[in-house]
Amino acid sequence: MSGRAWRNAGRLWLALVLLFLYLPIAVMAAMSLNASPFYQLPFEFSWRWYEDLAGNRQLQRAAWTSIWIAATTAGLATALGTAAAVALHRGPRGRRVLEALLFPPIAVPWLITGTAMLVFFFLVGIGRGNGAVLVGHVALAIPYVVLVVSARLRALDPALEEAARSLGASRWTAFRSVTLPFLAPGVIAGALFAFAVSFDQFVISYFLQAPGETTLPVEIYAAIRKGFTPEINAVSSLVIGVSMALLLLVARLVRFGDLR
Amino acid sequence: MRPPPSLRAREARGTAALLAPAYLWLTAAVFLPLGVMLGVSFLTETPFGGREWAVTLGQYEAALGKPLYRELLRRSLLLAGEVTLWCVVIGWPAAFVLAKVIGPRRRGALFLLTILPFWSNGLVRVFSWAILLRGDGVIDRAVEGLTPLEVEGGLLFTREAVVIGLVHAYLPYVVLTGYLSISAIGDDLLEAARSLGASRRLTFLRVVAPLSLPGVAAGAALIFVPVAGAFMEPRILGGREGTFLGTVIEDQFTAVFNWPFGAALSFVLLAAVLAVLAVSAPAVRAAR
Amino acid sequence: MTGEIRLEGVSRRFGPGAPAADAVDLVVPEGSFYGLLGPSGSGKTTLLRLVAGFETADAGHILIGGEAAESLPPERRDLGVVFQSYALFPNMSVAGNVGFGLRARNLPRRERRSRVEEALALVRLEGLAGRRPHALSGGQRQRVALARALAIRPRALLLDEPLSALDRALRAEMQVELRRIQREAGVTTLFVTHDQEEALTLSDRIGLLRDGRLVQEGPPREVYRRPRTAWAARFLGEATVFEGTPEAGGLTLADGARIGWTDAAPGARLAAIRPEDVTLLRLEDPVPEGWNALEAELEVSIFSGPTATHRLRRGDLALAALTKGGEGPAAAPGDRLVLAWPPERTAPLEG
Repeated sequence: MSGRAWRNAGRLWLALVLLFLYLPIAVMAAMSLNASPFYQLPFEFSWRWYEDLAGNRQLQRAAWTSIWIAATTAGLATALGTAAAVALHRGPRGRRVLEALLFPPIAVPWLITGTAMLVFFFLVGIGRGNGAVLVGHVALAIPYVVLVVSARLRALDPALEEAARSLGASRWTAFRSVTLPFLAPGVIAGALFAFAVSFDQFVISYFLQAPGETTLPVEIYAAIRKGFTPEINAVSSLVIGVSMALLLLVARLVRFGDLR
Repeated sequence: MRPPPSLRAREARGTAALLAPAYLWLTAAVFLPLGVMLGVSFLTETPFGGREWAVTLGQYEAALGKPLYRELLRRSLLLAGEVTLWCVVIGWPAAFVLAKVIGPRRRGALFLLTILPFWSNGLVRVFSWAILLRGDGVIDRAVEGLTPLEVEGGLLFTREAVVIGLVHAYLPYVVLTGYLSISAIGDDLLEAARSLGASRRLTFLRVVAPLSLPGVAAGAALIFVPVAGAFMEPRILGGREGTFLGTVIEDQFTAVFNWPFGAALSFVLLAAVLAVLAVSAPAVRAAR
Repeated sequence: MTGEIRLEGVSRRFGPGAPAADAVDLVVPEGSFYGLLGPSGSGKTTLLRLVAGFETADAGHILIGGEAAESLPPERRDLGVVFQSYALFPNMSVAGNVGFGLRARNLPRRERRSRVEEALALVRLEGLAGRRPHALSGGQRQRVALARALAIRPRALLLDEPLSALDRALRAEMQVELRRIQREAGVTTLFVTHDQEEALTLSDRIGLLRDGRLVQEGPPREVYRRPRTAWAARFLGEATVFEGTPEAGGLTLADGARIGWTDAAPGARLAAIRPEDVTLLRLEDPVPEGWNALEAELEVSIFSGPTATHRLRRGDLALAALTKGGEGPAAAPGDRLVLAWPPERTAPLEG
């Protein structure tokens, strides 16, 4: 094959991969706008499933629970994670170990982390509920915030802060006036990331939630297991729309290549 | 010049104060629970509600000794292996195309498009496959609408459906890590290979593949571990065919309420997964 | 003919702005060492990549050994390329790198091994066949890259700034080595650099490239002694450039002084002189018969070991003279001196 043929074959491959990734999501979104509840074709446009959503108190409550937990997670994880990233950047003793400790929360299957949290929270008396969910979400989000902010910190010229200090700024002033403004995009990206991690999290929430006050993914899961309804298509399309929009925002703030 | 000890000590205290909240949180929410669960796995009974319990190895004996659980473990590891393989086969070339074939202007956008689903809601994406694959679902209807064929049954509630859904869920991992490691291979290396007369096949096999293998292997490990413990995807897409170790572990905590056994199964799974990774690591190194 | 490289009207343009190659005609004779010299952005690397086949020309022809190369992909051009970064495969040993092109040619193992040994002997790296590239010094990497390119017995060798990553002392040593290896291998070589001294030292012929155009070419001595334009004179070393009114055998400066030359250059309004061709005299010293002589005020003398550079000023005109480090008239800034040189050293310029 010639070079051009190879390149075109490669592009076709990538196009097929993207088709594979987006086709189900696109079909789901399309079906959420189809009037027929049984996925009947031909397609007949209708907002009726979204209108039904407006009347579904249970899903609305779940949505609010998801949003406030995600927002609180974002705030806490960003504060804790940014502080840790800044400290790690100073190269403290044991830095390698501390960095390695960030990976178990990401890498251990959530099933195991989630059930372990369930067991532990029960034994120490926290039990299940949104408080437990929040503790779990923050723990999962911290490593991501540290990674995003650290990537930004690595791009910071250490001479900048040193210059500020040689000009008489205290460590704190130098940090506030030089480092922090430089870090801002990374911190904002980290916060959005943490929000997305929590908003999309299913497994941990599933194990830690008390019945009756669920987050959106858990509610959707329960509905799916009960049976398929186009209403679930509608809320799922909204959820995926929100999380993709969030991540596009993150991508504007950090280049994904920096996340190495 | 070293700062005087007092100054150094003060800075060290400041650093520790910045580190402490995050790591204490991780300890309380991840490391302690994992430790406690390890302890629970050696108990006879769920230590809750005033039940009598004693220390035992019985849970592990049951988890490792009963053929049913050995079979489930085998199924889970096979599923993880199969999903990982598909992700590598599909994702590695895609990563190469992204890194080296697509022009720099469209590369960023396409890369983002490829990894975007990965960070969007996993549950919802699995659900979207259920819509597509169910009997009388969209695929069936489309095939019937476009061809004279009668389709029945659909793919939903088969092992294939579980594999498809998991590949969809984890494919972006390989694309991400593969893309990062292939981008790090300079164009000059590829040009050098061609100027020395190497075909594209030889260049890929002898230069691109060995140099990007560590990245792809990292991506594969990141897929293998969670897939071995998957329970939500098999439940939604697998139906009765979707019984794996992950779903059985879930049952121990949510239905059967046998925490010690669930914990033992979890650690058996974790150990098996780590063992597979440990065995394959030297192979990866040797292949370079 | 087998190794001759011939470019005929080759053009390549990337977007708007100056073209990277603009109707370049160039011949690298068989077995010779051709240095392509230009500032960064002049298109020299593009030209090399066009020959190697990594770029395609918009217009013109490229012939290698008399054979049209346009339709050949890089892997079928049989050219040895040494990259600026060396581009050694980090996952292979030195022998693996050097043997890679032979493997691509499906040579039997035994012949591969003997050719690898031969190439490593040529670059004097016999003992290092088993090393990985990261365990080598910069100079050794350079030699491996060279051996790798030569092992395929290429029709010609293309070198892209091969010495720029080396430190100064090593660079001087490698220049000598490069020339020896090229002679021993007898391979036609096209070499790209921005370092004029390197180009002058190594090349049988040099070509000056500016904004994608080949401005001047010829043997190094000739191009250096007789630059065709003020830009060429200044790019290839230091030069004082005079501008004046043409007259028979020279020109008259605005202040009335006369600069003579021996070349046939009717109508030239510009001329250049190299600092090392200038002799510095005191006002009272006699000027040799027939020499050009200009009085100027010394601004500064910069001593740099073996040589000393003297900057002088005559009205708006800045002049330079080079003497041996300890020689020349004892003078302080502000003193008036005479710059004198024989007319055959004056280079009349175009433009």
